[in-house]
Amino acid sequence: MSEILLDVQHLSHVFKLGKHAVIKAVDDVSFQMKKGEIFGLVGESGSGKSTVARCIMNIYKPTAGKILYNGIDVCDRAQFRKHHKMLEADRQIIFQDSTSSLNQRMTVADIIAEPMSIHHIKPPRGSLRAEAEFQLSYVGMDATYLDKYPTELSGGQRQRVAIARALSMEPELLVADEPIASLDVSIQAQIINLLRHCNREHGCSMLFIAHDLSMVEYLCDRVGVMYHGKLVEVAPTAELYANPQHPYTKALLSAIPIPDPIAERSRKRMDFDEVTFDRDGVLTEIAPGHYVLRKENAK
Amino acid sequence: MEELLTIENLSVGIASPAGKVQAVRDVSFTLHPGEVLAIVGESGCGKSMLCKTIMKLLPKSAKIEGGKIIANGVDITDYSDKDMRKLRGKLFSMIFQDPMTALNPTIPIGKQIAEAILVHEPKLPKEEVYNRVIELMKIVGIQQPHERYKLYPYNFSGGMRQRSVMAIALAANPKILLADEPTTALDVTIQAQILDLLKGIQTKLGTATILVSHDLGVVARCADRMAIMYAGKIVEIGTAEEVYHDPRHPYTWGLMQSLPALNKGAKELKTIPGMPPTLIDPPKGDAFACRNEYALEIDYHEQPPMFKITDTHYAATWLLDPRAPKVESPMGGKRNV
Amino acid sequence: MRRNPFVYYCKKALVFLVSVFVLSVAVFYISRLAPGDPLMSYYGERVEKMSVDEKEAAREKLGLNDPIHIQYIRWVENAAKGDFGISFKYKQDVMEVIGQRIGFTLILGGIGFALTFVGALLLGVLCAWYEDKWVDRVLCKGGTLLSCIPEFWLSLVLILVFAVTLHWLPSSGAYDIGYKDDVLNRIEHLILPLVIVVLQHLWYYAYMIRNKLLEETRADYVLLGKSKGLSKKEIMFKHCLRNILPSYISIMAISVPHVVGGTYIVETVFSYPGIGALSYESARFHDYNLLMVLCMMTGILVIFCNLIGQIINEKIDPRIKANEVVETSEVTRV
Repeated sequence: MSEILLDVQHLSHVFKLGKHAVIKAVDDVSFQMKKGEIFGLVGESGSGKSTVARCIMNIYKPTAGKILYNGIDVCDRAQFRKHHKMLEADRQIIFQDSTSSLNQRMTVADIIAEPMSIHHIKPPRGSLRAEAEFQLSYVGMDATYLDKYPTELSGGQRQRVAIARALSMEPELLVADEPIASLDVSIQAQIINLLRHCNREHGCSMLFIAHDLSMVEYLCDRVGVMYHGKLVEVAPTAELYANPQHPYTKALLSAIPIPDPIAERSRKRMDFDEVTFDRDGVLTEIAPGHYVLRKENAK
Repeated sequence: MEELLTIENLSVGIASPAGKVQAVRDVSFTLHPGEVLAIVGESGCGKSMLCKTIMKLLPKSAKIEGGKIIANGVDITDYSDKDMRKLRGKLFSMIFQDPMTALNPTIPIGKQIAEAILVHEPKLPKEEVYNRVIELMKIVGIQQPHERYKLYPYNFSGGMRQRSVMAIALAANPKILLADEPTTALDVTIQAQILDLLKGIQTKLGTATILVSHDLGVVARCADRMAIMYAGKIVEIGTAEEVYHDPRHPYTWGLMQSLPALNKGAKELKTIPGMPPTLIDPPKGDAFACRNEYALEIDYHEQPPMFKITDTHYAATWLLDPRAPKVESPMGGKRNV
Repeated sequence: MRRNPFVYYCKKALVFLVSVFVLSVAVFYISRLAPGDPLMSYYGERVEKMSVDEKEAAREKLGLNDPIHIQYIRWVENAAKGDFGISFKYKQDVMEVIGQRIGFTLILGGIGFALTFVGALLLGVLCAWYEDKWVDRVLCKGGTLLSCIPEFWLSLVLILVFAVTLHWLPSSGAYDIGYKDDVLNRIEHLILPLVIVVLQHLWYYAYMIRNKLLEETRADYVLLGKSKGLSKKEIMFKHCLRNILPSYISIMAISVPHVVGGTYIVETVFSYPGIGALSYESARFHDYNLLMVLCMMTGILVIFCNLIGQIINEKIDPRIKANEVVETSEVTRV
């Protein structure tokens, strides 16, 4: 499984603030996702990771760069229009805040079945309701929840409904934008297990965006670290956590809390000074699959 | 050792349209001078409400239904708002989860800190107040305090704002600092800095701290002792080493096991099945029983008392009763890391 | 700050001028499109006895025969020289007619506005302070009830009670004949109209203050304030009230014309010689020149107050400036 599913090339997104002010939310970011892998994107808030996700999902139009999904440039109007049915069905997204991303006035059954009815897909299990029930049971909730409204559910349950909704289209790519950030620790584990199951059993590729690095380490196959709109390091998870190269990555990893008082108390933390951050550099491969943002001439 | 704060059998109920929510149920613990006590639990377990009860910052719908709060040797359970005002800031003060909203957006930071000093010493001369503010800003790690004195909260980043809130909380040299999820809204790197700062303040100023969090990982660095809360009750309390390395309550096991750091290479994260109960009509027996794979028959009928394990370590589970069947901790007994 | 204050005020002034121009064109055209004969207001009953030729000559004399845009240009030319024409009805210079009356309206509206402004603030704070206590409930219920009563009806009731039955207060006019310079007499005449003007607006703004204050007291920083030992009074006045005042002031600035200009019904019921009644007459009798100036005056007041409200809002509230500062800091970073 080394076929490339998603190829992000030199993606930039600039937010305009007034006439002269701009924010480079995403600045020349390139990475590739293989079919069937879970790619993690981590960074502090405002580092541009959500913007990347939204560009991939065609929610924002990138200022520059290309996003190839199965070889189709999704940012190209003509190509998008030609394949829009497939693109809309194959790519699904889940957001952090399931309170606002689910329509409060729709029942759980309607929410889950809505993508199918929009795409006029004939429900393989007879009716849309049966389909919703199946998806709901897949994410670990029983049929009694079908007629409830999102407000009657807990945060974890709402996130499950959001996942069920995304899965009802049997997507090839699932973009999860901080899906566990607002959940309790024990519920986080349930959601992570569910996402991992989707990936392992159904081969659903996933772009997992988070700031909780320990969950990323557990779940993801490869990780990209973003800082101020730049992708500063990309590597397979084990490699990145064992051998971080970029100073920001080092600082980030040293900040992960370890649930052990003795080890934690004696541990030194590294700080990363914003001033020392050098934007001008290119991703350089330093080990197989391990890329770091570096000045070209620096060795 | 003289106790700084003693909570005895405290219960708090909140009136809601659906019925009375028993947010805090029969909670007892003590806080020693200069220590950090972490209270860990899931959202809705009553840990925030406990803090607000100690400060008497409860909403109108909430009421203390029983128990005692003894602060510095004085029973303050029935103190009026006027009496409490003299204690707030001076004896204990609080920092909040969201530093974005905890500061008044229209008043410069320096003035907000100065206000906290002036509440308790209204006659302090201006220069002295200013110097104290600058000193406080230095303590909490705000660089260039003179320049930043006049800035508004919106000029500050999240971490800086949380530092400012801490400066306000420390203004009148409180003996107790209640920190309600102080790092939840912050980035990982900032979170680490704030936690180190909390620990530093506790060492430097000797302020006893109650650190409330939902994350076991976060509190490991700071906590001397910890209490695990579930459904309005404390289910396990002990020193940090005891709770982390030799947890006894099945809920603590569940929380620990769901941490990815302890699941490296595992195929699946361990989870706690089910959901916490609603506290409008809490179950008769142990509230955790229906999610507990080790639940005994008695768990469904009678609430377990606090069983003593060591002088400092207690847990509320029937598994510790001498008559109970022996259950090996899934954490593999005492862990040595 | 990046913004040049000179450019900023020039922009605001430009907006103001364009608005005034659009307004003048609209009023000019619409008033002339309305059915009816302006000669009626000039010649009164005599119009009916005039021959067609005489009427034509009269129109020519008043300049009513030219196409509307020519008339408008002429009006603008004259207005630029300070000549706003004569009132058809009063056969006097328009400014003179207005000058005699505007003082009365300004006194009624101005005092009414000031009382409303202060009264609403006090009532709002009182209600918020005693949230859900009986004071708050009684005031809120009473206020709702009062604001539902039509003002002309309430005016009549007050006249009936205080003027006709009790003979405490006069029922009409701005002063009794022969008492033109007697301040006390004028105040007596002002009381009833003022009561009506204030009652009509008070509740709306008092409610607004109450709700804004209560919203503010639910904010997190109030908890922090309490936890540092501040009293309810300090939190309410030093923090909450302070934070809502800018928006209150800007809303009140916008509502100046609403309160000051809204005295029309009151003036009619109490036969109070202000410009409210005058504008009604001028519209009814096609007194074009008078109508034009009155409309322009009200319009300019509205536009001006809106602009002032906007500026106040932007100046006082640091949260609005905040956006700019965030922009600059982010931009310098990138």
